[in-house]
Amino acid sequence: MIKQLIKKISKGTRFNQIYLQKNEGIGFEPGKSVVISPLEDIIVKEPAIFEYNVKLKSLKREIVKLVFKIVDSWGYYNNIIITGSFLDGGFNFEDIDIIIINPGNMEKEKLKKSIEENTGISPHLIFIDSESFNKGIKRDPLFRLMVDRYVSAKRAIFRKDREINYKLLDIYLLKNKNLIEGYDLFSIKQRKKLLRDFVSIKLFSENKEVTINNIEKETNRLFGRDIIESLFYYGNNEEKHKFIAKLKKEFNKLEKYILKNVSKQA
Amino acid sequence: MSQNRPDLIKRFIGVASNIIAHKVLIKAELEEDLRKYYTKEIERDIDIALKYRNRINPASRLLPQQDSKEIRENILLKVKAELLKRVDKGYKVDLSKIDGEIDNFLKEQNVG
Repeated sequence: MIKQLIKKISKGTRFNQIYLQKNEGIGFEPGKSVVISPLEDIIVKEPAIFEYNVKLKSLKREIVKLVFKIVDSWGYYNNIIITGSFLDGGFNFEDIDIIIINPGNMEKEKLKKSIEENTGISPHLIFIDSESFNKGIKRDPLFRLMVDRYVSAKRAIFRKDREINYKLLDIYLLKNKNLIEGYDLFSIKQRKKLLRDFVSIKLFSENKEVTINNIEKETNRLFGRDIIESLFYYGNNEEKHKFIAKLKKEFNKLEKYILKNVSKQA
Repeated sequence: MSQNRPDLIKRFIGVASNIIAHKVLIKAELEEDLRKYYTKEIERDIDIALKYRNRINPASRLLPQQDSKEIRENILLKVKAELLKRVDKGYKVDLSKIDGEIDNFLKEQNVG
């Protein structure tokens, strides 16, 4: 017995119509009431994935789909964005950065636990309203970096106009000064992050675009590719003193430049 | 990596000074909504300060008064210098808040 039919709506002069053949199936006889609904609302679709500046391999795609499904089952939101090292090639990530734009009635801790239990990956969840997110993209180099490469549940294009707030950059930079003071006690991952933040602030304050490629180029230009590879990829600390001395010099130069502009902006 | 005591104290002072200067600046200059976001990240640095502290003997009780006094004075000098540099550029920093921030921090870190 046929229980469902897929038909197209035909255009008529006064009424649009759906045609059924006389012997189309039991249950579709003339006089019977039927329900009509758009096909795309009935078919249970796989969650869509929009990739920006990245092409995920199949296993990571499955993880992303699973994350989207889990978030979807926990409440309302405007969009879900996945960014950060999870999108790098290979499986060398420790966590997954998930930004939920305008979350409705979600309980952050419970959602976090659910993602961790279902994927086996520790999630770093950021709940943010769209206004703050857009404001962040406008004036925070790290927010800009987040939207250089991401995957999202819904299509999302972010405006990239910028507003340089030197005081904010200065406060941000000061936080990174501890890479110099506490270098030995940070893990390689933390050192990489602090260095990336430092270079992001530098690029942003110089009105250059903060992208993964630009950060890599600028880092290699400032410190030398060999030193960076030796310290951050092979964990070889022989070049540490050279690197810290150079970082200190670059840090002071950037701080001076930012503070000079703070007084101009005041 | 083994480090001697004076070097560990010097590094502890350096990290602590940055944390405290950062805290005072955030309170003075950032709007409430941004404060939360930028305060969160400093927790990682507080852990680093604690790691240095735990390598300075005695680790499990307060430092001798002479040491804690010296650490406090050095942090105060560094934080003041950092903040005064910014007051000159137009920051509205309340310098009277520094002492309280240092005391709280040193208490949390079991320094004295």
